[in-house]
Amino acid sequence: MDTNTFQLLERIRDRFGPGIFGKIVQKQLALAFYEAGFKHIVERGVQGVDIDAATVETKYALEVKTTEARMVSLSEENISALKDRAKDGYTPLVAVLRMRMFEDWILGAVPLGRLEAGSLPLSHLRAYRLSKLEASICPIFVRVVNRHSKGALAEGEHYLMKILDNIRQDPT
Amino acid sequence: MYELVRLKVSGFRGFVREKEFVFDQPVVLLFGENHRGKSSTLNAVEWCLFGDECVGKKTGIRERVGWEIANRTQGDVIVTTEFAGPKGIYKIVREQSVARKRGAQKVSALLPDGSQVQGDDAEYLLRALFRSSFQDFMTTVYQHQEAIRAILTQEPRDRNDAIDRLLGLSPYREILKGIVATNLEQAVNGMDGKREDFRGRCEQAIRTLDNLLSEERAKALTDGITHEEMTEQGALHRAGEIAKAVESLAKELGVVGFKMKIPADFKEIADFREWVKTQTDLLWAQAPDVQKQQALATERAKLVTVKANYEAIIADETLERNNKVDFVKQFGDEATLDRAAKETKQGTDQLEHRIGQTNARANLVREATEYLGEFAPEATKGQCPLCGADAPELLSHLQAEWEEKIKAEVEGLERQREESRTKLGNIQSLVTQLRTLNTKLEKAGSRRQKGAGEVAAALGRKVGQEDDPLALLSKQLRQIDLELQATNHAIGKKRNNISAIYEKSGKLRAIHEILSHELKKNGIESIWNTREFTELEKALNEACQLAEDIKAIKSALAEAAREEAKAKIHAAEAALDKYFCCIAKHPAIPGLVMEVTEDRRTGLNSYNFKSKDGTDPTPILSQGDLNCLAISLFLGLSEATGETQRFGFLMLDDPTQSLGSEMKGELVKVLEDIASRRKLIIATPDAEFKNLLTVGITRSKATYKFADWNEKTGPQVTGAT
Repeated sequence: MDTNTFQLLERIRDRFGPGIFGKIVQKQLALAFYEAGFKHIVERGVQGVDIDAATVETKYALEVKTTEARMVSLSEENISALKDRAKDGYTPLVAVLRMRMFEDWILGAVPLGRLEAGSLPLSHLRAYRLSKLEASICPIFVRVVNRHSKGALAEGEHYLMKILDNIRQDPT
Repeated sequence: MYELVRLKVSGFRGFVREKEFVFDQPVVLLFGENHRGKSSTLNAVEWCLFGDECVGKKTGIRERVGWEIANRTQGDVIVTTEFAGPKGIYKIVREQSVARKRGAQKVSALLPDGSQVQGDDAEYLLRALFRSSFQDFMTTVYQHQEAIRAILTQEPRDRNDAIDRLLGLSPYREILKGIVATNLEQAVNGMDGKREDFRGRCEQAIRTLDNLLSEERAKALTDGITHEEMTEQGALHRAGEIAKAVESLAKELGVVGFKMKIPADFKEIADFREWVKTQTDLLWAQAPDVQKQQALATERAKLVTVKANYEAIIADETLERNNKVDFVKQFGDEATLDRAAKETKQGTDQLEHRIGQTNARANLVREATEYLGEFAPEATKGQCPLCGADAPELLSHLQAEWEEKIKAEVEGLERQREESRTKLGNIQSLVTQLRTLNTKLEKAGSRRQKGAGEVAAALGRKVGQEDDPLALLSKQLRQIDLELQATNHAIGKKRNNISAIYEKSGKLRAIHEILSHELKKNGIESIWNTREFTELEKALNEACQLAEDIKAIKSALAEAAREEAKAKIHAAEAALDKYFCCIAKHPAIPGLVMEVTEDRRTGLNSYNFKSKDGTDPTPILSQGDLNCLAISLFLGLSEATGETQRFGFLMLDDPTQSLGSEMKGELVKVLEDIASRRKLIIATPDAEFKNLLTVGITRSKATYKFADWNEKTGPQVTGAT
């Protein structure tokens, strides 16, 4: 991720705090998946996996995390939610954005049997990166962040929720 | 079942000459002291069957590392075994020759039908025939003395190691240890850490440059530079304007042959700025007006200096003159002083004369007084010493004359003379002073004349006595000032143009700084998109993948080792318990249960023993008990093989290492039971055990006695008896 986009995200985080920032980034990622051709998008604020993103051929269930450290925490609920979606044919992904300069999304398809509640070092997640998917999503994510920066800075996640609602109503 | 019936050994370890052993009895004892070749006899069977598999670290037996096969004297090794199978005798020969390449062996098998196979075919035949790996053989057929020795340790980790070996799980253990030893995860963390260090340094540099750029942009805006100008295009446009201004200045200054330079891209801007500065300075220096201005300024400075010098000379002369006037006023002129000196000299001379006169009389009185007082005869003391006339009071009269008149007069005259001399000295000093003043005044006058000459030289004209040099200088300076004023006015506009160029160049510098810092920032950012960095990221990902894969392999191996251990323990469980209780007869352990768990740290098997009453027996297990445990485990495992076991014999090497007499007796009972099902080949140095076996085993026996060993002939074996 370029430094300007990163600094834009930093401003959003500083404006809304890390908790809300996580939700904002989740919505931005959902929009990026949508723009990448995943026309079926379900973004959840509460229970279940954070994002369902599907095309006709491919279905991903994403547990979205932001962190500054080199690891993320996974809860039993997170793993359980991913397992549930896996039963429905979704490929479970752990999506981590490390909020440090020059970092980008890591989209890791960790086998469910290998996922344990607790700290997940990003070096473990690296082993299961979906590089092609990352190469597709990351540039679009940058565009999404920049395009919606004013709205996100002004209204936070509500602005992005409206964008996602519009998509749901008119997926074309 | 395949029974070992014959063994021939030559050149193998301690064996030099060929020795033949015949195993035609249900029980064969190899008896003798240590280091006589008993274990080597059993090892020869093993090597004949498995070759290099039973050598080295992979065996899990520490003693097998660097194990020498060939006898140091003999060199060539030949071991022949004969097994009686359902179809007849199978003769297997394994050879190793000194002449052959190191480690190269030759194996052959002669089958009951008379056919013979060699090399890989023979190796394959051995596997197919006996369906046993080296590990299986070691676990269920050949009880190594090292296996018992290793289990006798009190260190849990070493004991776990030994039990794995007894169970034939050493390969798992070695691989798991190898995986742990690679520290792959640590290496990956190290790579990740270095990447993070680099990322951190880049971030720090970017943030520093951002702060710098923020300050520079703010200052640039204050200086009237627009955001549009803070671009490469803006900088080049500004550079073009500056170049034109320099060209225009050149024309204005009348410089011919000026060549303009315009930067083609951002990289040339730094050179261009240097060029502008150099060219502007050069043009300015070459301009006629400027040169005239400089000449006038130089001339003016010179005249100012000459004027200042001349003024100082005049002031100096005035001072000297005033000093003389003041002196004369106070002390008089040369003539006055000369006159006063002359008069004073005359007065002094007169005083000298009078003193002379007075002194002559005084000498006369003094000598008469001395004569009358000291030398005149008493009779003549009342007479004048000169004329002899009576002078009765002459001495007293002369003494009074000396005291009262002559002395006072002399003293008075001498005082006057002194005063007169002092006055004369003072007058002479004043004369000297006046002469000095005159000299100084003359010198000041000379300097003034010289100064006038300098003024004349500076003005380039004659300066006569009638001229006032200072007035001439002042007039000339006024004229130069007027000319300078006119020249300054004439080049003032041009100077403004130069200043404008300097200002524009300064702003170009500010833009250049901003753009340079942006370029640096872009450079740092671009590192992350380079092919090299992408490859590095890919390599890190692959290293992480490798670490995860190895972790998975380790986990699978650990699980397999545990499952296999569980299965073997389960199969041998009943026999293990039976044999242990039978041999150890431990009063506090009613029965033994063996469990295997995973060592969470290493992933290796960890073995625990529990007494059947639920207590932990480990703290009360003696060395003898541990020996019983090892032998029971081996016997249990060999029993567990049941019908699948192709070998119809057991080889026990020194099974009574830590056993007491009672335990030995009990072991013999167990072996008596086993001997009904399997042929037994037992090597022991233990005479008590041998005797117990002789008495306790009811099956027929043969004994090979290993009496002695020497370097030339190898073991001295007698028997079978």
